Amino acid sequence: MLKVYIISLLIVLTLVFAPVLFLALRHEDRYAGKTVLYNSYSAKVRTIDPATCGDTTSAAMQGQVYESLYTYHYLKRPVELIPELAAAMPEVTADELVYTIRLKPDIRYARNPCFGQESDGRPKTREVRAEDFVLAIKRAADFHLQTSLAWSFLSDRIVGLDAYREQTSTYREGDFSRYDLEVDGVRALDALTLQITLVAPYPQLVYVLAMNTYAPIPRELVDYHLMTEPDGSGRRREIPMTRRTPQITGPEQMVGTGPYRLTIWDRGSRMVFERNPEYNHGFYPLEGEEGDAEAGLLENAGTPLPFIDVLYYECILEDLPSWLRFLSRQEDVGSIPPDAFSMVINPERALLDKWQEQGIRLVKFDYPAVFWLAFNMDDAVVGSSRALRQAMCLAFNVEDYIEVLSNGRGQRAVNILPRSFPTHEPAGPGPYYRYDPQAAQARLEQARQELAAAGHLEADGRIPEITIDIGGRDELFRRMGEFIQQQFEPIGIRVKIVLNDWPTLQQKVHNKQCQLYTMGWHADLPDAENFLQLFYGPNIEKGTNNTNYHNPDFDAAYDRIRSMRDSPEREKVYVDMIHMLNEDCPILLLSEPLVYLLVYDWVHNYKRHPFAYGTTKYLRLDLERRRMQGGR
Amino acid sequence: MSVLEATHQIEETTIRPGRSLGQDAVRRLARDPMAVGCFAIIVLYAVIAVLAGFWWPDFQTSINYELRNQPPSWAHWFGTDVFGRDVFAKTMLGAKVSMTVGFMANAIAVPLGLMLGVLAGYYGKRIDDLVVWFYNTLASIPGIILLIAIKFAFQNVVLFRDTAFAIDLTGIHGLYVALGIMSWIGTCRLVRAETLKIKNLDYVTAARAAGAGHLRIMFRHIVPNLMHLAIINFTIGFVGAISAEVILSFLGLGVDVGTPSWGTMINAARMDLVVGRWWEVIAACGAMFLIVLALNIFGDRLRDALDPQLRI
Repeated sequence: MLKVYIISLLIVLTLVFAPVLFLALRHEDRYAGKTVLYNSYSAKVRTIDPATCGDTTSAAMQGQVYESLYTYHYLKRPVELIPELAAAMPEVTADELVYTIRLKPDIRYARNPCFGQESDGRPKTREVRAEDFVLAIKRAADFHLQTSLAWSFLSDRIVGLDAYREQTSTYREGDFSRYDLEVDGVRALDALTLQITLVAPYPQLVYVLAMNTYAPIPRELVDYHLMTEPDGSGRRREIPMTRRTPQITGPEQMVGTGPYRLTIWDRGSRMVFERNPEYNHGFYPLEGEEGDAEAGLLENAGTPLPFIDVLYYECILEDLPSWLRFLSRQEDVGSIPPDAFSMVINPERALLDKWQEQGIRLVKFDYPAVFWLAFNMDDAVVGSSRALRQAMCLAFNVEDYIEVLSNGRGQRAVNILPRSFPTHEPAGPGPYYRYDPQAAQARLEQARQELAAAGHLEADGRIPEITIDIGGRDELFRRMGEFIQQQFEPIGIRVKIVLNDWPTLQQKVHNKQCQLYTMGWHADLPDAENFLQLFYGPNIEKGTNNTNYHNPDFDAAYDRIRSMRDSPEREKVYVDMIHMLNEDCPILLLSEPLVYLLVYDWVHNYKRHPFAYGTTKYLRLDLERRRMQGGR
Repeated sequence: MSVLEATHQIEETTIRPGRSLGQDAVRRLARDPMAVGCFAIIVLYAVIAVLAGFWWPDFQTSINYELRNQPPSWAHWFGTDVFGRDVFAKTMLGAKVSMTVGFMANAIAVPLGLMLGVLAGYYGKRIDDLVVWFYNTLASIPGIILLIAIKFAFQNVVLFRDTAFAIDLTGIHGLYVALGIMSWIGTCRLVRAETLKIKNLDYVTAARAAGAGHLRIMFRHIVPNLMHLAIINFTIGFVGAISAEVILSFLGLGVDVGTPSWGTMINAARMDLVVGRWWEVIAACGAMFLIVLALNIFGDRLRDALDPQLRI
């Protein structure tokens, strides 16, 4: 009986003190004495596997851990590509088909149990080898991984890689022996030399190799984390093939060479990155563009990176809590919700004095992205009538859209390319990407005839109600939906708005279940081809052409530019292709965003890069100032 | 009061012509100024619900981006919203949604609860066990969670698709159904208990002895004596349905985009208070407060008026 009393007492005491212990071990104490950056992210991180990365939130988080062969100079504009894990820019043969890339020696992965254990019990590490890049490219081509973006850049490009993908489809998902198959076009000549052989010249390849989607993956990771699991007694046992998944899913499986390693990932809640002690090859740039020195961006020139020990990110999907956290100095960097814009920014588009007095500065930047409403070209109604699409483009007042929903933070997109792309200017504005309600009515008459001919008008002669799927459920997206309705109602187009969360919308788009939907594209590399590939017919199957646009002339032109070097001739083809899109209107162009970011003055070296991810390593925090100003 | 006066009063009462329960309830309510006031408010809201759509038929397109987020003025008594539309009109149109949701949800819930309660109470045994098990199971699930789950399950569900009677359950119709199938339990419990009592009363036994069938006994002799419960539950359920609509709309699961409702107004105004814009949230909350208060008070008075034990 005494035993029962004692056990009961222990249980009660445990229950009483567990919360106290939990609070005592909170992260603030855990990171005491360290430099911690506090920030939030507003969309769920879909993946931590570089091969399956296809959204900007995941890419931003992965950028803290993974590195590529090449990267972008942090400060220079226009952007400049520089070696990261490669020792130099690639050696390319005269026919532009063979790229030989030498790696920097002594680049080491973050310590991980997959490499074994040191005598002192610490996990081992090892040097990055060329074969790790071979495995990364094989994973990008793996049939069993959802690598739509990573694969779209490599398909039909590298000798033997498409055949390899075909072969992997014959293997079971959990059979990783497919990674032992040889690919003629991707070979490790020795431990530090990678050779890529192309089917045809591919001048954008160096930019592609700057994407973290092709970050090196050690084979040990696959053998240890994806093929074995803890057996409960401290050892590991093999995972049955039927239960194995080829995707990297847990923080411990995230093995990179970058400045940080992921230590905590509470899905949908928070991500914590801690400094990777093995990282020794990053240094702050010695030079920048004009004005950088005056802006204090070269004060740390040549200093080893990173400056911050811990990156503490919390997932906050809504504007309001994130804004309040920033105001209470719980976050170091914050964006301005639309509703609060007028209380922060004056009519001259500058920060109001009262915020400057609080040690906040405004950083404005545009980034190479375009947002649009995409038409599903396979849809019986919007896909079959070009005039209907043109009418809808003409009826939409994008200037008001930007003003009302984004407080004027953006510019009307007039062709598929952002203004920062050189081809944007010669391509010129599309004839239907302007607000002209009268012209819209005229096109609508034509649309009625087209739809009547196709048998898609309603019995009373009306155009069927059009459903527009929006990729968000909160108030901002509801407002967007209302605004869209307000644009089309005057010309007699009835619109039903469906609010979805972002993964649901992506799934619906993938399954071709949408009629019209919100979408956009952030450039992966500074070349117009990156936007044009979104409309290339064969990319429908690969998942990147999600409008299902198929135009044989466009496809033929795309086939031509695939292997062309940057030249006036290529630019002319680009312009022709953009004109085709302008005429066919597979998308209703909305805006190019302009971001207003607020940064407390204890954050140094902040400069937004249009393409690079993982630039947090350049930031420096003045902890003394943060404490004095009431920050964490 | 002297003994003589009291006797006289009793005599007066006894010679007064007989009144039904309903007539008596109306008489008593009419004498209660609070009940009359609340009833007037309910009627006013009902009138607004019917007429608002006709009064402001172009509300959705009455946008004026130059007048966004204006505070109350003579031109716009309740100010303007993010699209420059009149918040007063929006509030009135919100009444239409709330009153319709309250009515439709209860039009489903109360008859459902009444039927199941009568069946369970009258037949007893396995039917009773089944109904009791069903509502106990349903009641054990947190209401709002179940409501959200049902609304999610209704996403993209269209009943009678491609017919003239197509009902899209994604929006407001789904809200009617979801609230209706969630709100019958209270009515069912009360009706079942009352039926258990009534079915053994003499007049029911007499009807049975006279050869009346089960259906006739239930619908001719029992249900009419349960109608006061149905009316009271309808009033109380109205409040619940309005509140639930506001909560669901606040969560983005309520009415369709473009349909003004108090829930979406409150949701839209979440950031407003932080930046000093109070008019939209005050208008929606005030409108909801008034109707909920009126319904609650009127429901209480109605229960008192329909209680046979309080009859004089």
